[in-house]
This record gives sequence, structure tokens and C-alpha cells, in this order.
Amino acid sequence: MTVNASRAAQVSDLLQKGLELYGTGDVARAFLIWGEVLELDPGNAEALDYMRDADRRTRPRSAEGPARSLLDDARRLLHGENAEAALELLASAPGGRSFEVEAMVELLRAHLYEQYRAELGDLAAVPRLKAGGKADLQTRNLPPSAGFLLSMVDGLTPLSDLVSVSGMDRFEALRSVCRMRAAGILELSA
Amino acid sequence: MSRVIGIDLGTTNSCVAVIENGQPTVIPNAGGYKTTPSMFGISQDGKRLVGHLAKRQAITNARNTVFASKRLIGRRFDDPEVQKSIDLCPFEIVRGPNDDPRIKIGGKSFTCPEIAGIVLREMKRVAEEYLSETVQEAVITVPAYFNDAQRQCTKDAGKIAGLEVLRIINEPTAAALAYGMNRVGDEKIAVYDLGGGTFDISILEMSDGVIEVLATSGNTFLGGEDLDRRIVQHLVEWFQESSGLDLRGDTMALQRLKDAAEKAKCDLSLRDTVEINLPFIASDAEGPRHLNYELTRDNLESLVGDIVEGTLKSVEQCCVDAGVQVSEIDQVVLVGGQTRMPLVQKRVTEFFGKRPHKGVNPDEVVALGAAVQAAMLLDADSDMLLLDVTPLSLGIGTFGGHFARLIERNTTVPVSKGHVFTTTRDDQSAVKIRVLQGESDIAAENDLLGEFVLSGIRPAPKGEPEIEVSFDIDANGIVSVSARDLSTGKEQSITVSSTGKLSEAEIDQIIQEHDLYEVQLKG
Repeated sequence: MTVNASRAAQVSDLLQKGLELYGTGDVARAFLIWGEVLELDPGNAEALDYMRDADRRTRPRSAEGPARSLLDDARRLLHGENAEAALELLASAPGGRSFEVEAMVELLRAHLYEQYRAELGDLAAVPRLKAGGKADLQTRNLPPSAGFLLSMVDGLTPLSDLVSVSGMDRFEALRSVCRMRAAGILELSA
Repeated sequence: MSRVIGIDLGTTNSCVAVIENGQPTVIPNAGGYKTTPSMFGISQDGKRLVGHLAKRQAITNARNTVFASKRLIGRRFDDPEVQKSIDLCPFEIVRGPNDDPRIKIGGKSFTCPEIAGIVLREMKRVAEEYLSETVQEAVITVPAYFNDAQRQCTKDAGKIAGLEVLRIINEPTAAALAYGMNRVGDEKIAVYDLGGGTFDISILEMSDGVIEVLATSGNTFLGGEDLDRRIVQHLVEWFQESSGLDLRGDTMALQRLKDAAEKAKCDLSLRDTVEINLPFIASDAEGPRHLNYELTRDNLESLVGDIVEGTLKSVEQCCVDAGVQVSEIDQVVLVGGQTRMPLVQKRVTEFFGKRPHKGVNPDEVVALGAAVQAAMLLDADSDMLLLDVTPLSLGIGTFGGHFARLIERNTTVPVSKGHVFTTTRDDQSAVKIRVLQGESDIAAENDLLGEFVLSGIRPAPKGEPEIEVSFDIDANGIVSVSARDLSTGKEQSITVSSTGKLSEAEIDQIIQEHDLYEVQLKG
């Protein structure tokens, strides 16, 4: 079995597992499983459809009060093509998350993952520190994980390898790279 | 005819060299590095990583990153060295079906020759990229104290990597070769080898083209990484004092500290002061925290001085073992990247009362010597003669648990010796021959290389049958044994293989698996 065939089988199994969980009412875990599918196969249409459908179906049932308003705000931001702000909003929500919020977070992550992939293009590209990017580095407000990724940028290692060896969640790693690129710290070259 | 490469398969780093325009030359990898970490890992997304990439996840994904597997190769699982590795290594070491240590990472169990084979394959690839031709043959170096099993497993690793190993040579011998010391007259040479993870000291005697290892000593768990750890510990303590934040549990921070410590240590071999700047190493309610620290050479020397002194105790012991006065040493050769450190050079100079040889990079010298040996093997007209010696005595276990030496240590190889044995019981029809290597008179205290049974001995009173056992050690230090009943002429011949050695079928299977993996990657 080739790597591609093995991955396809894994994706198929995960899609099925997600559906089974969804069928038993465990929507939050179903979203996590479909999220795994998107890690393996970014942009998998089936997983995205399930997630959108599940989100739509579960929406009216239980979220109430502040949670409802939070979700509505997040959806508005998503429809306004600002998934990043929507995710920030949900991440800053106080207290434990309801499964609707968890589901929304997964949906936003899937949406953003696609966005990052499109923005970064071929992951064989090599990230480099931008000329002058280091000058005022310490005045910026970066999280330690970004500092860690930055420390691995050597101008030789392709982005795909960098993400692999970082051991970071793939979504977080790409998000971090996109942010540093937008901030003028990193650039990508073929 | 394709070229033969010389490979220094190190505990911490490996290096490959070839003869170009008559000169041994180290081959850099695509990143421009002349050495490659002897590390193999599997990333969290299942990707196989070798060399620098594997090193980058050594702390953040420690359970799935193998380093220093050379300490395990050719040993039995119960060997104290293996047990010590189990205590110290973050990756899982399990008992294999051949009683050998196996390394379990990424849900798969790897043999030690397989791990070494993956590193060798990487070195082969580096050479092929540089030379733009296929490489099929190599000379590989091993520590002088490696026994038969360790040498055989190294040869197996070469096979797994797709290389025919033309010769296995001792590392100190290779270092001496790189300096052309085989061309000088009779001399005694000290090879001080402080690498990333091991320290070896060897006293060699050069005489008429024969390089004899008079004694070898050292510490298989001491090297440059211990110095890095001291620096990391110092930085962590300083950062905690100055910021109140403890980085000990933060693997990302520790990975950065380890990389920075290694770099600072190397830079301090050339400069008196280095700045260690690690932005965004941590964060708290006040925002991001940066580590900015100035490390001086004096600081470093006070942090690690005792480690350097410890190596000199081994040097003293080695001189005693070799029966050589320090003043009798004619030349001192430094090997291993850690010997670039000024403190090491100063203390070695003071100890021997003479300056060590310079001119060849200490982390490249062994690979260069291997390339010189490779050229000597190819050139039938070479006027260079190189003969190594067997590092350990070879013999068999006899009645009462004793060890009968047949080939004494330091005998020039290749060598062949025979000995006649007899039976210990009346009408004994078979004898079991246990082949051992070591220096103890007690059989059990030596390494068991293998055992075989000579059957069909004619019935006779004890002591009457005569069984001649012949031992051969080839130029690689690899042992083969044959036994013959002198009255019946019945003969058995085997290449001695320790219980930990892989069978041909296992080697073939590993090669197929690796080929399949490469095909999958391309698919």
C-alpha cells in the first residue's frame, strides 16, 4: 500500500467514525474527528460538508444567553470573511465551552486552515528571516511558540519539514508562520 | 569504476570523505554542513527524519528521536552499557528476539544495525549528490575497542544502506592515517578523541607500517553534550533568578536553549564572549519574555572544567595500561569537535608536554583517514602498508568455566591460528565450542561471540579424540572459526555470529522495507 493509499483509507475511516459519533449525539467529538480528516487531507469536501451541516443542525437547539450571542457574533465575523477574529472571540470566551462552541471552533479552524494553505502556497517553499525583520524583533508581541518556530528558520529547511519537526499542531504552526509573514518578519522563497 | 567513500560513523555525528585529485576531501551535505548528526527520528506526522532534521526535534519529540545508538550496536540487551542507555535515553529500548536491544519509535521496532544503516544511507546519499554518481563501496570506521559482534553489526549496517563494506578500520588508526603517520618511522602516538557523546583515548605504536593499539580507554557516556547540558542548566537557573520563570518543563524552550548552548560553546572556541539571545522564550502576564545573556569563555571554562579534567584521568590510566611513560609519546592527535575548545587543547598540551597535531579538522580527521584507507585498498601499487591489530583476545570456553586464549590481543590482523582440543567424557559424540572475546581468565566474564556444535566424533575414551579448531580474524577484525575431528576428518566451518546478529533474511527484509518506504515517499 502506498502512502497516498494508506492516507485515503485513514481519511475514509475517520469520516465514518465522525458520522457514527455524530449519530450518537456526540457532536463535539465528531467535529474533532473531522478536524483530523482536514489535518490529513486539507480541504476534504466531505468533512467540510459534514461540519457545516452539523453546525447548522445543532445551532438552534441549546445555545442560550451569552453563549448564543457569542456564537452569533462569531458567525457574523465568519460570514464577513473574518474567521481569525471569530476564533479569537471564541478563544477569549470565559468559562467552559459548550459543544456548540467547540463545534464552531473546529469549523473556524478548518476554514482558517484552508485560508493559510492558500496563502502559503507550496509548503516546499523555504521560510527566511526578512531583511530587517530581526532589528526590532524583541519589541513585537509574539508568543513563545512563534519564537520557537522562528529559531528553526535557517533559510534551508522547507516549510513542510519545519512544521513536521516543530512538533506543533499543524494549524497552530501554519497560523504562526502566516502571522509572522504578515508582520514582515518572515518571507517565503521557492 | 565508482569511487569508494570513507565514513566516520560517529556516536553523535557522522562524516563522509572521498579522495579527489589525490587528496582526501570531506563531502558537505546540501546544507553545507561537513558533519551530519547520527540521529534518526519519526515526526509527529509520521515523517522519517535523519540528521539535522531529526536533531531539531530531539527535545520536543524526544521519545521518537534516536541518538547515540552506536552505544548499543552489537551488544546484548543485558549488557550494562545497554542498561545504562535505557536509564538515560528518552526513547524506548526493548529486548529483541535475538536478545539484542531494539529501539521502538513511532510504533515500530528498529534494530541497531538498521538505525546505523539509515544514517549510513544518508551519508551515501550525501556523497552521491556531491559526486553525481552512484556509490556502492565504503570503508567504515569503528572504535578500537569494538569487538567482533559490534564490527559485524556495523558491516550489516553498511549492507542495509546499500554499501559493500570493503574494510572496517579503527578510528584512531584512521586519524593517524589522515596525518600520514604511517609514513614516518617508529613512533608512539596518543589519539585523544572527545566527540559529542563519547571520549576515547588510544595509545598507538607505529612500527614498519603496522599500527598497533597499545591501549584504549575512555568513557562512552561523556562528550560535548555534557558541556551543552551544563550551559543549559546555567541558563535555566539564571533565567529563573532574573525573571521568576522556570523553563525546565517547557520542551520548546529547552530545545532552543540546547541549540543555543551548543552554538555558544562552539563560538567561544574562537571568541572570548558570546551573546545568547533567545527572544520570546517564555511569556507571562506582562507579555513576552526574552533571554539575553552574555557568556564568556572564562564562565564556560569554570562551568565545565571538571569534565575536561576527568578525561585526563582516563589518559593517565591509558598510559599505564599501554606501559608507556607520558614522556615517551612522540605525537598527540586531537579528534572530535569538542577538542577545538581552547581549554581542552591547553590541558592536553600541558599533560603531554607537547603541542597536539593541528592542520586537519578534528571532526573530519577520522573520515579523511577512512578515505585514505579506501584509496589504499583500490590502488594495487600503493606503497602504503597498513596493518591493524585485534583489540581483544580470542579464545574458547573450556572445562571448569575457564577461558583458553588462542589469539592474544594486539596480534596483527589478518591472523589464523589453530589449536587441538579433546573430549572430557568417554564416548562423547559431540563438543560444543563457545567462542569468546575478552581479557578475563573466566569464560563468563568475556563476550560470547557465538557457539557451535561439532558432532559425529567417533566413540573413544575421554581425552583420545583430537579436534582441531582454527580461528581466523580478517583485516576487518571479524572472526570465523572452523573445527575438524582429526581422526574422522569431519569438519564444520562457520562465521561466528553473536546471538544479537541479524540473519541474512532479516537484513534482506529490512532492506526491502526501506526501499518500499522510499518508493512510497516518491509515490
